[in-house]
Order: sequence, then structure tokens, then C-alpha cells
Amino acid sequence: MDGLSTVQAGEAFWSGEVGRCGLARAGAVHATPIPSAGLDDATLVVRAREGDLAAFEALLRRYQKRIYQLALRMTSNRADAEDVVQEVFVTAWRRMPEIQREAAFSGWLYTTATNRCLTLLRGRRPVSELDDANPPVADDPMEDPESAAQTSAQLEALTRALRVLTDEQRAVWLLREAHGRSYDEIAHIIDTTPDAVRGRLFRARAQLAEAMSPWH
Amino acid sequence: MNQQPVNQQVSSRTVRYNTEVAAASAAADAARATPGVVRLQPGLWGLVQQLSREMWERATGTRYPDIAGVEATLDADGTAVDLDISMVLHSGHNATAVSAAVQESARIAVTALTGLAVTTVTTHITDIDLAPLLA
Amino acid sequence: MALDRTAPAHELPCGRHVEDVLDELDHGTVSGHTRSCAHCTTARHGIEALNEATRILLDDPVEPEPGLVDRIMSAVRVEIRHSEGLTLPTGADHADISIRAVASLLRFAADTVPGARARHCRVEPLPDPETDPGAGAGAGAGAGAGAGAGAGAVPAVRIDMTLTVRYGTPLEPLLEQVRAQLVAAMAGHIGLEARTVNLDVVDLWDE
Repeated sequence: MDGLSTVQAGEAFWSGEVGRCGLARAGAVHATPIPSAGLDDATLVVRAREGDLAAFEALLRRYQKRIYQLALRMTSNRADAEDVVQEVFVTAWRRMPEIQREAAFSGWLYTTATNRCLTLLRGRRPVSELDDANPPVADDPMEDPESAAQTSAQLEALTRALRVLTDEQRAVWLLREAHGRSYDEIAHIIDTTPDAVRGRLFRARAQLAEAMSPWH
Repeated sequence: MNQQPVNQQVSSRTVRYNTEVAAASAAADAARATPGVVRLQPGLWGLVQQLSREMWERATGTRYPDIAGVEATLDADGTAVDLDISMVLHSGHNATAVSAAVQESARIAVTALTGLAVTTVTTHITDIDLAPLLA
Repeated sequence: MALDRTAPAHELPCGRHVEDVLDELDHGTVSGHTRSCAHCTTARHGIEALNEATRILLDDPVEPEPGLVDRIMSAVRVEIRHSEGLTLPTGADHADISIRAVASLLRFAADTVPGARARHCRVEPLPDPETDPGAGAGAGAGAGAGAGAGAGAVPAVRIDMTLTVRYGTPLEPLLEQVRAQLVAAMAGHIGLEARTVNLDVVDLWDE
């Protein structure tokens, strides 16, 4: 079978045996179709919305790491973080028909993941307000002697410092500083104004800097 | 299978159920062996079948077979069965040809292994595995 | 007591606050006091440590365990309700294939044409030509294949597809090739005739 340029309209290009066939293998210049992994988000979202599993899996592979990282840094627990990722994406599959704007997909993932994490965290602690004088006790489900990922001392310090923040501050800080989401988007996620987000972010940074200062 | 059931008074419902499992097992093996079938595809109802694993193992003394993706329904007489098979197609094969082949081989296998007549074999291709085309 | 979120809380022994130092660094204007004050300098080190750790987090090394993707895809597959199917002509027994699966294959087929990327894809069965006097028996462009033992004619479908096309690719040849691929894919891989193929280019891309 030659390159695609030789396919004529209506020409059958399988081997002819009943039960065996293959799409024409392209020559060197014209590549075989890009596996879904190489397609843009908009195309993948349209396809996934219509039930295309390959497209959905491509979106999953594209975003699962970042969503996991957000969930892990929010909850400090690997098992919880994986649960969040699974819930977010299974829900995404169910709700794909509702996502009308393809560009809104990643924002939807972040929104859903953040809310899941906040709900999960609310379920963990007693309701009393945590302020700077009473930071949460550092229980360390994430500390894992075999974990090669925590080799960086700075990252460890930051991980500890993040637990000093309130859940909402941590969400704001992670979304902005680690994931580059816009103020508008963050405001929408935690249901406030962009200006309030700016204020909370500043507070969070000061608090983290203080926690990471050499006098600790 | 000459194992005596633990309870001598085996209910007819249990016998019917176990016959259906035997038929489904024969059909499942035949389908999986058909060129072009990647795997069988269970749906939500596959979970229900798992609950009756104990019934089967107690009555036959053999391990519960892997029949997820296949449903076998015995008729009132208990002499004929309808089959329903859901599967994933290998993209190097023709869907119609593979479906026909599965229908034929399932019929032959079920009758040979259980003695039952097969009234209908309905097949569903739920997915096409495109990986072979990308290789 | 609710926290006053506008009041800085991290007071340094020199009377200033961590927020002041942070503000200075954000604007790139480090004051003389900050430079000479040991407390402010310590705060500054904390800020710099934070900035550096943040950079690491931008490329966070932690990863989920490798089985997670498969677990999620399995969960998604169980979710798939019995989607609509196209009947396949196997003979007396009923056989069908999910339209969703066929659409995926057709998108793949369209993607093999250089410069083309499929987006929306819809497949619908067409009336049986034997009972529909309007349709011609010889219309089938999708040559051969399929078991066709049923009514004597291979069942037909209509395909509606939207495409995005690489800027600069000549459209006519591209559409012809896509059409050919879809027809051949339906005949060779599925065993049905693509009697009507509607293609719409909805966007251009550049790479």
C-alpha cells in the first residue's frame, strides 16, 4: 500500500480478505495520524464530549499530573489526592456534554479539584477557625522515607510551611503561584472578588516567607 | 463434573442458574478465541453476576468462570438458551465478519459443551481498539 | 475573633512587618533600612527561600502512581451506558456496534489525511434501499467486504463530520481524500456502506 496521495475517491484500500484490513500506511513524509496525545484541547474536548474514549484518555493524561499535584499539596495525603483525581475525571466524563466552551475545560478541572479538596479538608478538622496562633498540627501522611520526590530540602520546607496556611489561603497560593491560574479564575473558584484574591495571596506569601525564614 | 453438591436438594433455580453460567462460560471462551476479539466488555450488570459466585462454586466444586460481558438466558424448558455478548474489536479486523464468526463459534461451543440448543446469539461491539493502527 | 485580613501580623522586632519587606521586593526597591537591618534581612532570606521553592513547585517532581490512569479509564468504561448501535449484517442473529466506537474509527481515518483533523462526527443509519424506492441499488461506492447475508443489500449510513484543516492545504483534494478514507473505513473495518458523507471545515490551524 502506497502513500496516501495515491488513494482515489471510492477506492477500497484494504487487503480484500474478509475479516482483515488496515488503513493505508502512510509513506515517510505524511505521518500516520497524530495519536490523540498530540491534538489540541479544543479538538479533544469536542471528541470526548461525543463519547470518544481515546480523546478523553488523552485529556486525562494531559492534566492528571497537575491536578494530582494540586490535590497533593492541598491535602498532604497521596491516597486522598488520587481519590480527588479519580472523582474529578470521572465527573468530567459524565459532565462533558455540559462543557460548552472547549477553552473552559482546564478551568473546570481546577475548579472541581479545588472544591473537592476543600470539602475533604473541611471533613478532616474540627470546625473551629484556625489562626496564626494555632497552626494545624503537622501530621505527616505524606512523609515517606522512600519517596525520592522529596529530596529537595527547600521543597520540604515549603511543604511544611504550606500547612501553616488556612485551607483557602493554600488553595489561592497554589492556584496562583504553582499553577498560574488567573485572579479572575481563582476568584470564581473560591467565590470572591479578584481584589480579595490579591489580598489573600499577599497574606499567604508573607506567612509562607515567615515560616521559611532562617529563624525557624 | 461429577462433584456431588453439598446440599442434595439442589433447587431448580440453582440448577438453572448454574446451567446459564456454564453456557456463558462456553460462549465467553469461544468469543475470546475468535480472531479480532480483543476482550469481552462487562457492563454494570456484570457486577451482579459476581454475587452468585458462591452458589456456583459450592454446587460444582470448580472455580467461577470469567463470564463478564456474556449473558446467557435459559428458556422455560431449560433446553435452549439465548446468548448476549459484548466485546471490543481489534481494529485490524472487519466488525461484521468478526461478529458473524463469534456468533457461529459461540453456537457451536455452547451446544457441544452443554447440550443446549442456542436460539439466538446477539453480539455488541462496544469499542474498537485503535492501538494496532497506530503501531 | 475574626482575623482582620488587611492588618499585617508578622511584626519584626524592628517594628516593621514581613509584608513591608515583601512589598519592597515585589517592586524591586529595597530600602536602606532593609539592607542594614538584621531582622529585615532575615525576612528577606525567607522570601527568597520561598521564591526558590516556588520555582521548584512550578515543575513539581511528585507524580501519581502509574496505575491511576488505567483505574480511571476502567471506571469511565463502566459508566458508558449502552450507547446507540448500528446494526451489522451478519444474517439471522442480531449484531451491532456502538456508534461512538464507529465515530472514533472514522475520526482516526480522517486524521490520516495530511492536514486534516476531525472534530464532530455523527453517524446515522439510512433507510434500507429495498424498502426505499428513492435510493438506487448501485449507489454503493464502498466496494465489497462485509458479510452482507441479510437483506441482500449492505446497510447504509450517513456520516456528518466537521474538520479543522491546516492553513494552506488545498481543500478540494483534502476533502476528497477524507471522503475516500471514510467510505473505505466503513466498508473495510465495519462492513457498512457510507452512502452519504457530509464534510464541513470549521477552522484552520497552523503548525
